[in-house]
Amino acid sequence: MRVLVVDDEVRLASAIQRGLQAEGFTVDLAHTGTDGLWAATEHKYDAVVLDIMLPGLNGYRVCAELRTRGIDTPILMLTAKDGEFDEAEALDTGADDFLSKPFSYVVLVARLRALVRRARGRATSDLVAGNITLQLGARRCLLAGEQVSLTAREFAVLEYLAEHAGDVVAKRDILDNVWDEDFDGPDNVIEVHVHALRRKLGADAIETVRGAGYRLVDR
Amino acid sequence: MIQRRPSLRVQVAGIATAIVAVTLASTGVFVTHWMRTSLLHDADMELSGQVAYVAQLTQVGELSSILAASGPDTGQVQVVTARRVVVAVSPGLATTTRLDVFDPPPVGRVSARTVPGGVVGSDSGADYRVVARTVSTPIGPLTVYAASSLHAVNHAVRMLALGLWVGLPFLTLLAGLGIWLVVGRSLSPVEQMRREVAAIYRPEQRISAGVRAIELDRLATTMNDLLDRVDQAAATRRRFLADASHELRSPLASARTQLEVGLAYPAATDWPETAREVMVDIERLQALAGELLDLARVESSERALAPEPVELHELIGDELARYADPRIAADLAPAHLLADRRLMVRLVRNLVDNAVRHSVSVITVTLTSTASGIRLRVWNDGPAIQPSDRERVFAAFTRLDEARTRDDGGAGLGLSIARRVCEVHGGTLTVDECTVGAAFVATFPISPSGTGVPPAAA
Repeated sequence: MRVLVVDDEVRLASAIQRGLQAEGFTVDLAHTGTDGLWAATEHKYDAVVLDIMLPGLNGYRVCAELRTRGIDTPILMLTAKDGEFDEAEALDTGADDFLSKPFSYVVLVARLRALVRRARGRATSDLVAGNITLQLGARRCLLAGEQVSLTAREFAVLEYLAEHAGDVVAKRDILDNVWDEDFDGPDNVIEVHVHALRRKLGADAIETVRGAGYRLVDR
Repeated sequence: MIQRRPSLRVQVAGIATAIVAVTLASTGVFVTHWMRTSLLHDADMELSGQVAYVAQLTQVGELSSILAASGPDTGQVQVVTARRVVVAVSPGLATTTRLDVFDPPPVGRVSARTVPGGVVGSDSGADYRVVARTVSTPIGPLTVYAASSLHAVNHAVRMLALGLWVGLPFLTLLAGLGIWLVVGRSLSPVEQMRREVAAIYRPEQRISAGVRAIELDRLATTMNDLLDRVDQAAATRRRFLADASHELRSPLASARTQLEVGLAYPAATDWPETAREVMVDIERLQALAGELLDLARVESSERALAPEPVELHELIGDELARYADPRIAADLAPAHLLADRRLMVRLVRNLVDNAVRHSVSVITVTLTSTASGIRLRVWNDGPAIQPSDRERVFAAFTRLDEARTRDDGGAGLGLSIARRVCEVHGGTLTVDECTVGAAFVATFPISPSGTGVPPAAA
């Protein structure tokens, strides 16, 4: 899952980034409204965390502009201002959810997951592909009911494959969704992780489609 | 205890009715008096005619002891000698009746009196009018007395008085009722306006204007202006609260999230680094708490200013020494004023803090003292302040270079506080026009007593 955090509170933004990364999210940061708008337009995110008081372009305008451009990425707005009008205005300009600062980090993560789940049209936070079950809330992977321990990065790669179970997924797409925009390492990092996943889940769990990418077998 | 005054309607109607009553009553008294005088005058004229006629008879020696009923109606006439011997009477007058009830007037003169009827032998109870005239005749001076009843006069006057007694209260009552109605009518827009004001409960509501008499309309307009001002003050307060809440919540949110994330993944957390970062947020909160407190102090010191003689150049010199910043250059002329020392220190620190924050390499602090006042100018070579921002910088929580990260700034109250300090000392704080960099100028007036504090504040 790839998330964009737009907040001019640098330390707050990096703390959210650290936490979400530890949860297995891929997190990009922007500190101004203009940068945030650019990033959200340029990349495909699963969710955007958007502060309202931003230099350059405020959160409402970023949100409205994204919706005008036809980008329907789920948006969670943050504000330190008081009052229900802020909340109402945020939701009216196209945001999907709203949190007042200071917020509980646990609630932020839960709401982000709920947003992504809703956007994908699912009712639970479990992803099932064949005999593999991914419990996204608990970050657990079950193989035929048995728990398999995965690293955060392995889990993220498997989650992305599971979301598109049965379909071929290009390496580039995995890279974009699992690694943040600052990553400029070699593409074969994916091969390393896929290799590890095959070792833990069985050699035939992930098929290689030559010249196209990988496919998680959905049986 | 509040003394309640009667309603305006009662007051106005009461006073007006009283005036009408007094006017009508005095008119009544005057009319009665005038009528009586005029009727008496008529009676006197008639009696005088008789007296003159009889006097003429005495002159020509045709006076008989019983006056003939010829000529004008002689009525009751008696001719009396100087020794009070009756020499002639009109017919029908009882012989025992004496009309000479007062001393005869001198020769050639006429006098008149009103006497009770009993005196001239009448039992009708009515007063009598007696006119006398003395003439000299060959047999010595004779006085002619003529009398007539005032019954008709009295009756007429009584009837008039009776009419007035009944009519005037009625007229007064009618006038009072009319005034009561008119006053009620003209005051009813006031009551309607009161109801409109009483029904106001939303901030944007106003009283309808342009529908009443000009005086009331002006009152409505004034009230609406007052409501506008109250509204604006409330809006400013609300904005300040919202801004202050934003400034409080942001560092709180930052500190909380960092700690929460650290606690959620203790192994992956660089604790000293987290502590340092959270410290920055704590410092921001501390700065904000300090500035809010300062602002509250300045606002309250408006009422309780503690002015004392201050050597401003020394105070500034001491403050600049604290900075020990080689970029700061000072040119301080001696300047004395009466001021609150603590607030002056706050002013200097806030201005210099602001300059230090924005300066690239130079800050100058200039203090000049002239006959007209004291002028403190703090300049730095940082970014210029746009003309459109020259007032905005003094608003609470304004930061001009908003792209900058918030961490190295104050809470955004420094310049607001500085301006309030100047204002409570009767001075001003403005952005100075300059081609390079940005400058703030504080001025303090010097009153004849050498004080920088306006008399009202001191």
